[in-house]
This record gives sequence, structure tokens and C-alpha cells, in this order.
Amino acid sequence: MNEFFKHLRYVLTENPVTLIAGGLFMTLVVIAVLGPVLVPYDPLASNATLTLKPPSWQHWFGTDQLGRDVFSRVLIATRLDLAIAVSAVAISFVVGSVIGSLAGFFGGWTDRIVGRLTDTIMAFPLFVLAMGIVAAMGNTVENIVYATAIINLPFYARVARTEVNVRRNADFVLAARLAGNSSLRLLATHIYPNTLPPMMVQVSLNMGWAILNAAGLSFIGLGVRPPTAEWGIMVAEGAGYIVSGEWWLALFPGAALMLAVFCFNLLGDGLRDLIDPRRRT
Amino acid sequence: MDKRIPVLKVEDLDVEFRTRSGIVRALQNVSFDVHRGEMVGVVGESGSGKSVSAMTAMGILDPAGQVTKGAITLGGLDVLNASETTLQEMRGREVSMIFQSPRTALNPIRSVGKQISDVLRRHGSATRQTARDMAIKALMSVRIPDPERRHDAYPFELSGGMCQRIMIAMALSCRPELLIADEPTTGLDVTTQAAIMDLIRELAIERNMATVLITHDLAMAADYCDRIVVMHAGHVIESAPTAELFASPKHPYTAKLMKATPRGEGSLDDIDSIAGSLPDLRSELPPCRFSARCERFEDACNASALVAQELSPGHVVTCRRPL
Repeated sequence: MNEFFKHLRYVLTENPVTLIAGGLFMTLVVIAVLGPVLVPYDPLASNATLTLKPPSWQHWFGTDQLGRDVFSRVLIATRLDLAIAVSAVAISFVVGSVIGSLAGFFGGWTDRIVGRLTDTIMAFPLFVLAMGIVAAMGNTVENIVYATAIINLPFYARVARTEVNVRRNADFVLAARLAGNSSLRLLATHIYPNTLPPMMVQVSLNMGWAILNAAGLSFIGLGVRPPTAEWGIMVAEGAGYIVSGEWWLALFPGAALMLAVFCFNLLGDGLRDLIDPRRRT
Repeated sequence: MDKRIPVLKVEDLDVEFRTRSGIVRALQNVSFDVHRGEMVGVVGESGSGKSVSAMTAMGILDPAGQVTKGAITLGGLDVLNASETTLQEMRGREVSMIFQSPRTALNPIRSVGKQISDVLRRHGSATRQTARDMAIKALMSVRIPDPERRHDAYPFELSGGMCQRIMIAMALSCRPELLIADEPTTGLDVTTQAAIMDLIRELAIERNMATVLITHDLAMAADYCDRIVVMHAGHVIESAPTAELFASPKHPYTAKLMKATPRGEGSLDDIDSIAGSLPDLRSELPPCRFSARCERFEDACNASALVAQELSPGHVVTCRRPL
């Protein structure tokens, strides 16, 4: 474990981009965890005397049409948006790895079924598919998670399949088989860990995409409902006020969204470096 | 012939591969024995069936391959009829294998010590607590300097020779009865080759282990093996104790092979090459698969199926007109 932290420090200091991404990521996590403690105002409390006030020292990001503090709402929304993205990515990562690895390892019918399944999912415009799933299954946060997980599934399944497939007949797999390991053990302990570095890049890129997707669904009115603080809804609600000059309503949640996606996209390389021992030199 | 019970006994083995362009008759009537404490060299050109024999003996044959005849007995176990679970128990414990590219034969993202521990723990000879010590001991037994530190190294941090030592440590960690070394030194430079072969021989003697050395290097087989089995196009054409084989090769192919081996003395012009190449194993073949390349060929050679004949004790040749 000590070794791991030493390596973590090395990965962070070696590449300034990773350091920035890591810093942003930690900030996001802290805000998500401590959100309610950090906010200066109740994110749901409206105040009729303070509607649509521009950013000031009292309200850093201004107030919205109901007089709610935009800064508090942006902070509070971090937890929900991250939670949706993390759970969606976790589901698609786990399920995608399992079915992709099995397809890559056993080939034949398993491969064909998994291949057609992922092709079918990818044949839809993914955002429209997510909309359809949420609309059909009901307008809840869980369903946003499932919808996001389903549309991300093919990417994990495909990466896992390819990475497992190229190693299926590798010498070290043969050597492990000759040491008396069963097929499933070979797959789980010898082949699968080798697929993790590229999978991690996928996870990180996907995380940003999942946040965008969740926010996008809320933006068009699916999933999270007002008055819940969520970046997508806030941008949607604020969009109408941009023309009349109240730009801060949409700008700050939008910026938070952008920053989160940016952070996860940058994090990919660092995460791969962290997990691949070949970088540990 | 040797009357003791052999560790590995291959009898009349036929293996075929079904491919898109027809059936490849990879092995035909292959028989050989390996006894305790003995190193047997299996020599032949590429494609002569050396590796296929070894893989079949371990019960790992490509799904396209099929054993159509024969039997393999390994430490009393009928390999061809054993269940996959039994075979898994056997592999690594009774019989181990090392191969030619040590760098790719190790898992790139697992420390080498862990990989040795995996084998030890797989066969129940180590627990989580003792695995590290036993792995370090295994590293020590193959003379790896600073084994404590190397235990945590990754394959990419080690040289090819070092990786091969790790492979040997891994293969021998559960004290198998039989070691199959499939061209163990091909990817290594000459000085490392000798060091690795010396190590294998030393450990084999120390543990009274049976060893099969698969190689196309006749000179190396001569240096290390007690007995040599010569293969050509899926046939065992001659097998004899090393000294006798070199003193009086009986099969024309063996004799040609020896003339084609460079020696310290003499110029390169003295080296004779064997005309032609291996026959296409997909086509219908004559009883003697060497007949198309043989200088001593007569029509009578392919009149009927060939039988192995024992010319002197332990010296078996499959040729109608031996030298």
C-alpha cells in the first residue's frame, strides 16, 4: 500500500496535467462529500425580495428567479451529478467487463451474442436511446443511472473483448495454463488485469460523458425534477434568462459541468499510469 | 530396453489437425519414453512435430487438433482419457514446461514473485503466509542474485536470461517429475544459453527429474542429453543414446543432420545441407516421409508401411535401408 502511494505521488508530480486533473478531482470529491456543510445558504430556500440579483459579495454567483443562491445550488448539485455518473459508469464497467471478457475469451457463440447486443445498442443515437429508456421506465434518478449505464455498456464490452482476445493465446496465458490453472482462473487473474490500463482511460472519458448525459437528460426535462439542484436543470431554467441579461443563472452551473467533464477527460492518462506497473520505473 | 517404469511414455501417437486447406497429419506412430533422472533430446526441423508432441503430452492440444491413435502415460496417468480437472492437478505439479520466449511467457503486470507464489498456492504447497518465503527460496534455487529484491520486480525490469531463470523457478517450484523444455534458449545469447542449460541440467540431476529438451540445435542436444529422439515430418525416425547416435547414425536423415551441424574445426564449406524441405503434411504421403529427400531411396522403401527396428539395445531406427 505504501508502494501505491509512492507511485501515486510520482504519477501526480511527473505530469502537470495529471496534477491539475487530480487537484480538480479531489476538489469535486470534497465538494460532493461536504456540500451541505460548505454552502452559505439553503439551496432550496426562495426569497422573493432577492430575485435575479447579479453576482455580489453576498451571493457570489447571484440569485435565480426565486431568489435562491446560485452558488449554493451549484455546490449542492455536485453530489447528485457525480453520484449519477459514478454509479452509471460503475455498472457499465462491471457488466461490460464481464460480458466483454467472456466474449473475447470463449469466442464462438458467446462472442456473437455479445457482439450483436452491443451493435444493437450502438445502432441507436445514444442520447435518444437514453431518453427513450427514461421515458419508458419512469422519470426517476435511478432510471437515469440505468439509462446512462446501458448506453455506455458497448464501449466497455468492446474494449474488454478486444483486450482479452489479443491475449487469449499469449505465451504467459499458456504458461499459466500449464501451471494448472482453469480457464476461468486464467481469465480472471491473468488476462483480465492486463486489460485494466486501457479500461481505466475508458472509465475516465466515460465519466465526463456520463455527467454530460445525466445533465442533458435533466435539461430536456427527464429524470431529475425541479426544485432539486442539478446542473442540467439549472442550465435549462437559466437559459430563458440569458436574453434578458441575467447570464449568471445558466453560466455558473454550465461552467461547473464543463469543469467536471474537463477534469475527467484529463484524468484518464493519469489513471492509466497509476494502474500499469510498466510505468512504475 | 530399460525395464523401469518411464515417467513419460508416448506410444504410437497419431495427431491430426483439421484446417481449412485439409487435414494435416502432424504426428504419426510417435513413440518414446522418458525415465527418471534422464534428459532426452527431441530434435528435428521446424514443423517436424516436436512441440505438438510436448503439448499433447501435457493434454493441451489446439482445439483443431485431434489425437486419432495412441496413448500417453505420464506418471501413471492416462493423459488422453483424463478429465480436465485431473489434468489441471497434474500440470505444474507432475509436469512443467518452459518455452522459448521467457519475456512473453511471464505475465507483464504481475511481479515475478507473485507469479511463482501463484503456482505454489495453486498446488497447495504454500499458504498466503509462507508463499513469499517459498518464492524467494525458488528464486535462490535458480541462482538469481538478490532474490529478496527481485521478488517484487516486474518482467519488463529483468533481462531475457533472468526471465528464463524465473520461468525455470516457476516450473520447478512444485518439484515436478518431468520438465519439458521447449527450445528454452532460442531467444537468448550464446553465453546465457550455456548458463541456462547448465542450470537446467544441474537442477534435473539434483532432483532426479526427467527432462525433455526440445531443440533444433543438435550440438546442444549432444552436450546435454543422455538420449536423443530424432523427428522428421511427424515421424520418429531414430532414437538412441547420445554417444551411440553420434558415433553411428543409422538413419540417412540423422547422418545428414550431423553433417549439417557446424563444428569448431573445419571450414564452413564442409557443411553439407539437406536438399529439399519437409513434405506437405496435408497431402497423401508415402510410408517413408523422407524418401523424397533421401539419397539412398529405392522403390522398395515405400512398398509397405515402415516398422521401427531395434538395431542394438536402445537404438531404434525406422528405415528400410539404414546406414
